Amino acid sequence: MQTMNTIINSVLILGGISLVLGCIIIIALRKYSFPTDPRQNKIQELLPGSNCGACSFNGCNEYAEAMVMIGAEPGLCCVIDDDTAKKIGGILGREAHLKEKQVACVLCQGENSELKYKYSGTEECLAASIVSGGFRSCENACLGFGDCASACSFSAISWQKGQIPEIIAEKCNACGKCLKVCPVNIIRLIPRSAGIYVKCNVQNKGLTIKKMCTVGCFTCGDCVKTCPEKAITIVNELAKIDYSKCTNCGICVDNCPSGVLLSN
Amino acid sequence: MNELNLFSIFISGMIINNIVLIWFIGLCSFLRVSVSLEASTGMGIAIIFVTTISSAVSWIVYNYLLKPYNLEFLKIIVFVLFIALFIQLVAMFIKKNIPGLLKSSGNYFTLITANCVMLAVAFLQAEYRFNFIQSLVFSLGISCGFALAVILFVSIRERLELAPVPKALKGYPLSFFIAALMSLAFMGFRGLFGL
Repeated sequence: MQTMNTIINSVLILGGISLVLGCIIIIALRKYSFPTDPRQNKIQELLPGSNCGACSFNGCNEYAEAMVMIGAEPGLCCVIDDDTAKKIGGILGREAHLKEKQVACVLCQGENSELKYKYSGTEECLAASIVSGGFRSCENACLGFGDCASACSFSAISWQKGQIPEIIAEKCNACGKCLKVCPVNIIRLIPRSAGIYVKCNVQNKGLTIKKMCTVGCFTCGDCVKTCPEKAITIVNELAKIDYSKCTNCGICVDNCPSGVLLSN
Repeated sequence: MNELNLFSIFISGMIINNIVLIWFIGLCSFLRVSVSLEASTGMGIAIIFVTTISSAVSWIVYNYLLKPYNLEFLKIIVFVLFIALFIQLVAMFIKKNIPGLLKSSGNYFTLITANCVMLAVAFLQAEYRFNFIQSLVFSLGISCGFALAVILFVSIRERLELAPVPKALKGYPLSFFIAALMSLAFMGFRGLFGL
């Protein structure tokens, strides 16, 4: 009898409490509901909803709110195409400043880079990079644990353990998440129209690189000399392509002795 | 527990039984939110306010709803329900009336207000059989202790920003070291008097 009473009591009390609390929250929602700007809902529908954070806001909804409330730029989203951005600008009555479409690129071919020691810790690039600067002798060599692939919201990075991740250009929206998680800084955003990359990001003197890696830029300067458009310069011991001048002719690719310059 | 006066309950909650450093409750928000001194001061004030009121609510629920029917075993679910509702209401109220506050505390508001400190306070005051005033003072003490711990912690962390720290210890590892040393220091207060 005692148990029966307890059971009935607890059911009644808990049911009563949840009923009352439910009513309270419904009333509160009615009373305190925040009238959202109708423009915000329209913009939210146009945004991709992938919450990648490339616009520097926490998710698409917050970006939509920021555009309506505090006047954030309509062109910050890198996922939507130009027409959608213009539509959003139209809703807001402001002109959208469009960004140039970019794509992420892994600047390393470093399976050839020499090993300093055998690493058998946590299988994460970040963890591996902390142990005396990574297990590869080159400081800017891909560690191959795929932190970038797991950070990508668009599954645009195909990766297998120990290999250099490959970026699938059709899926990449250049949100820049992989750039932030890569502990060795070998992912960059480059213009989508670019045809030639410098597949290396090492900034050491030439000779040290030759010892460490067979596909590292050792600053011979052949590309600078052969480029007919003078689009290549050496910055910080590394060839750098000025994409506004580059015509994708491919002469530098043929002349690169270490195979660092690659054409698309 | 009725023999303790209010002052000793307050001190006990704030320092001797500091919720973060002695009981290790509320560590998630303790470590996560403590970035700048300003933000954590604001957060401390929010915690004090929310914890005190939610503790009062749970005292009333416990003593007038659960105890008379011998339903003390339901306290977990009931406390969770009431605290969740209360925080929802506070968040709604703030969003409507002081929209700037939510923005300045970033997305942390729900994290800082809906943390385990509140639930711990609700349980402890039920366990200690406090009367209403005592439980209010106790929760005030606990939340002040939380604010104190966060502010001390942030001040140390801000200083260490400029110090040359080994790369492997940067960030969270160092934070845990600091927290552990602070906890050791606070254990020195345990000899004062017990609760």
